[in-house]
Amino acid sequence: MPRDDSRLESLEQWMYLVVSHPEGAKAGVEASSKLDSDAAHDLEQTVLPSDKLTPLECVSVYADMYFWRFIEIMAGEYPTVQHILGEELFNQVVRDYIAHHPSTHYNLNRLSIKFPHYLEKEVTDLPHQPFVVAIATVERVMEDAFDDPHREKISPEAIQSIPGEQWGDIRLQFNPALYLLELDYPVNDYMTAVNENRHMDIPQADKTFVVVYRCDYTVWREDLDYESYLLLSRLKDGESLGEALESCTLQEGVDADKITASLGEWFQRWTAQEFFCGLEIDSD
Amino acid sequence: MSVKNRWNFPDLGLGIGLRTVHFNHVLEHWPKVDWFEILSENFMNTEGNPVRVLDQIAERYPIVMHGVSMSIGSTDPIDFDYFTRLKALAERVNAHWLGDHVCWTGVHGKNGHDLYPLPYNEESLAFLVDRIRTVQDFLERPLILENPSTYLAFANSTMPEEEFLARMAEESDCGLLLDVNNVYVTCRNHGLDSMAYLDALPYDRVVQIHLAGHTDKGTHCIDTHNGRVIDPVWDLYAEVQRRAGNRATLIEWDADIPSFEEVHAEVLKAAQFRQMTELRHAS
Repeated sequence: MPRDDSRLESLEQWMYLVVSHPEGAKAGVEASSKLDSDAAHDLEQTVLPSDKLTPLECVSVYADMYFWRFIEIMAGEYPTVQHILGEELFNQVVRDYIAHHPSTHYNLNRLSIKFPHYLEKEVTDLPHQPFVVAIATVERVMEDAFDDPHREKISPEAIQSIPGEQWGDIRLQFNPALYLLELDYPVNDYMTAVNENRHMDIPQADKTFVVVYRCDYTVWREDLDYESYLLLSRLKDGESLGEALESCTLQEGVDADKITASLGEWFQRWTAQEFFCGLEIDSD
Repeated sequence: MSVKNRWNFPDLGLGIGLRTVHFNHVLEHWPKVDWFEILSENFMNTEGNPVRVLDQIAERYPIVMHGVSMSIGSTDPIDFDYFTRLKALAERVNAHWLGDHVCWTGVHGKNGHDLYPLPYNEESLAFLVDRIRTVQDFLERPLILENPSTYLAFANSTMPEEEFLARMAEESDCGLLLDVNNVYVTCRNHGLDSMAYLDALPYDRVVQIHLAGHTDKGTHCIDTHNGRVIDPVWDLYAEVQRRAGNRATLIEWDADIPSFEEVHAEVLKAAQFRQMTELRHAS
């Protein structure tokens, strides 16, 4: 005969509802008592008092820790967002975020995956909101880059050994821990200033291009000019170098001469920065 | 009297929980530590710096894996993605054993990332035993499960925690990680007799011992892992040693973490208790 675990399941459901209630355990207990489901429990009949604590105080020990754990984690992941919003508002925003997007994965690294989107689309009246969204986007991507798969980088010798006539036919495989971002605000200098405890005014809106990447197991962020951003984006999309150069130079606002003049130096630098982990050469 | 554990897992000596803030110290100094315990989830779902460091450390030290997200007591379906990754990590670092806590961390797909207590009754025992067996079959090794610190007791519990743990271990054929600080915290919180708690445990299933600091709030204690081990917990440790003999022992220090040397010095205090145990056996 199959075992019936429904009472244990409903007890777990009840306790989770109580400890995760955004307004605290007391509100959670009241909300659960009104449920028309198996999760409805009476606190006094469910939890025993201890010598010194009432049942509500006992369950509150868990409830008090519920949001603080997530706030602590996300403060570590989004230090610049926290700096801009201030601790009190940041804590409230995280509480609201967790209430809307509770953790559903055993790994806490996944907790804040939706946070930048949440700040952009689901929150209103946040101070400096577009700038905060840009910062959150970069800070989230840095978390991803920290954990992304590791691939051996392509050596400078491998790049240099390609015959000149075949350069146009190469297709590059990118480091999985590399992200190209197009943002509405310059973020890098501000993030560095916060990291170094220096004051900096929030910058004016300005289209910015940023690469976040992991090199030698350290995550870096760096501003790119428009031409190198565009070229890297095309290459990352799978275009051959020849195709990417051609499509870039046709793009409005692109300085084609700059690309031609900088290409060798760019590739030297990008290879040293572990941007690439493999290449193929198209054959006719 | 010394009781060997039934799997003949080795007494690894005195270990330290490997924490990120100590990575550089370990890689630079290769300190004389008997073994390291890793928090399993810190090395799953990542191919970044933590696993690079761990690979190097696992080449030089014995590794034991201890997790916080197994949620063995949850009524949700077993997450085999989690256990597949756990098994792969255990093979990668050649873990001596692996375990987690007797608890649940979430339900209906939501995860609170806390160690929530179970009611100690026949229904949850049967559920848990079945679940442990399934997981052990998948992992092809016994689980070593830890007694949690608890802050509430359910009204539908029908047996004390120590009896629940003993029966769980016997019926599922799993091992126990005896957290002596958790025994102290739980007994303080629920007004229980810690000696009676220790008397009820099957020491042939105790593979490892945890020690830690906690926060005493006056009305209750919280297992915060943020300081030194207090004397009453050392006294309990001596009692455990007397009952079990020497077991692999580890200090957990997870908040306000001091220097590596300070954590190491704290765990080395356990050496005197281990020497007393050895002298007792010799005589």
